[in-house]
Amino acid sequence: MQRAETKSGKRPFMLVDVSLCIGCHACVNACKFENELEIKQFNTWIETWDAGEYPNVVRANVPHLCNHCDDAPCLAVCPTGATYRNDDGLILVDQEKCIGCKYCMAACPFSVRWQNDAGEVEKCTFCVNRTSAGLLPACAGNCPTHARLFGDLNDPNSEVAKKVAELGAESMLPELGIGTNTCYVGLAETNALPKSSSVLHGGRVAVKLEEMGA
Amino acid sequence: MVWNELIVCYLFLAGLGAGSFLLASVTGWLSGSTKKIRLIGSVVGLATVAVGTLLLMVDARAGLGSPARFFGLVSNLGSPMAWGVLCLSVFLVIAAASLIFQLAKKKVPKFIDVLGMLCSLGVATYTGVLLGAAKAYPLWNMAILPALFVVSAALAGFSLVSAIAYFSARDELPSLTFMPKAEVVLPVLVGVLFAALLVATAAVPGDSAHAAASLSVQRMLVGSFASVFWIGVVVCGIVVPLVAGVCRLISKRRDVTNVGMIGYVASCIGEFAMRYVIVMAAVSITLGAAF
Repeated sequence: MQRAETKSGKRPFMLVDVSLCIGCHACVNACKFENELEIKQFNTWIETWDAGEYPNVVRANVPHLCNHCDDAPCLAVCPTGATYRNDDGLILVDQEKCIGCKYCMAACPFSVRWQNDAGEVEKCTFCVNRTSAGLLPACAGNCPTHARLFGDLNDPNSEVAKKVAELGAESMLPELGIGTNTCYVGLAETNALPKSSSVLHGGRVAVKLEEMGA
Repeated sequence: MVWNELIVCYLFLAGLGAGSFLLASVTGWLSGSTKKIRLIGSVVGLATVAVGTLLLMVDARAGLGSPARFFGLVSNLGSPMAWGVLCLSVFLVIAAASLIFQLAKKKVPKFIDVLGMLCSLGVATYTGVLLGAAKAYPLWNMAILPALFVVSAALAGFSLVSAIAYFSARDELPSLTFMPKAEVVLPVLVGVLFAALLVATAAVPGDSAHAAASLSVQRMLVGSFASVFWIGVVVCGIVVPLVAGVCRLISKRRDVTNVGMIGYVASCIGEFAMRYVIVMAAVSITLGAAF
């Protein structure tokens, strides 16, 4: 899998196997504890819906988080340089430089960015505080089904690199061609099934079924 | 939608100010007496762009809390917003300089007028580029929005200055010899470009982008933004100014009349409505992906 080079030579990467996710929200809660997020603040969330037509229906659970894109739209538009890429290729925000103009939020095709009480923009960091010390991100470390694999894609012996070599990796919006470093297994297959319920974000209705015909 | 009414007001005021100051700068090349109209355009241009810039700072809450961070605004010259900040800064300086010359009863130097025209066009263009570069919103089309925002800024700015001049400098209005034609051409251009925006949006490729684009157009034409779109954008922003413009163009003396005044007021309402629906009705590709 071809990726943009990073200064460190590493390529932190997350692979989410949609067929393994049971929608338990352990990842969401672990993320909230690790990053001390308040109510309505999410660095990751799970979208849930019923896919297929009755009686052949499956429950789709799709975790969302920052894609740490190689060609990151948020990075391109940030006027102050608050959004930056670190040596490992992670897209991070220096809150001390952020003015809260929300341009990055308007540019992000995955809507993973949000504003804290001071108006500064935050988002998933792949738990850079943990992963730079060799630990797993809180979400991946707490996933009971190993639906989220995290590791160095450039290390062929890593679990994530092996699974990518075996099963491939899909981007959430592949048509954008922006080189996402959060990828999925089985997402296109799930999306190809007709939706037979509303789409829920963390158990709340986000897009109503009747609106989807539009 | 990430941005709200505050940014709508900013986009409106920036366009209005750019159009007003563009007219003031253009008077430098006209032969008749235009001193009062130039003054009106300069004051309105400076004031509206200054207020708009303040709104922009108020919207950037984290910067408002730590104002020193605003100095970092030109750190990434790859960002249209950094260029926008430069455009706004130069505009404010040039508009202030032009105003100082006028208040000192001195002739405004030609280079100030040239720079005035350039930075007016720069401010109006950049507001479209700003949205166009946010690729998560398929409605914000980079190929069309900058041109649409320039012509609508000219229509609104020219209209506001003419409307004020109708009360305080009516004797100078005939000196704006290009206005009878501009008052017909500009609403037509706004209409054509907006129609092009709708067609281009409806034809956006890619499943997720297409779903988001279709929903954006639907929200404008028949959905929750339909009244603002049809009454504000179409009637006030295009039809009324066009009818008023045609009435003036085919009249014998081509004077500004009460009908013309209705067109001017409608133009300003229409420009606001247009920026309102473009910002507020836009649907993100993220939502499109959920469909």
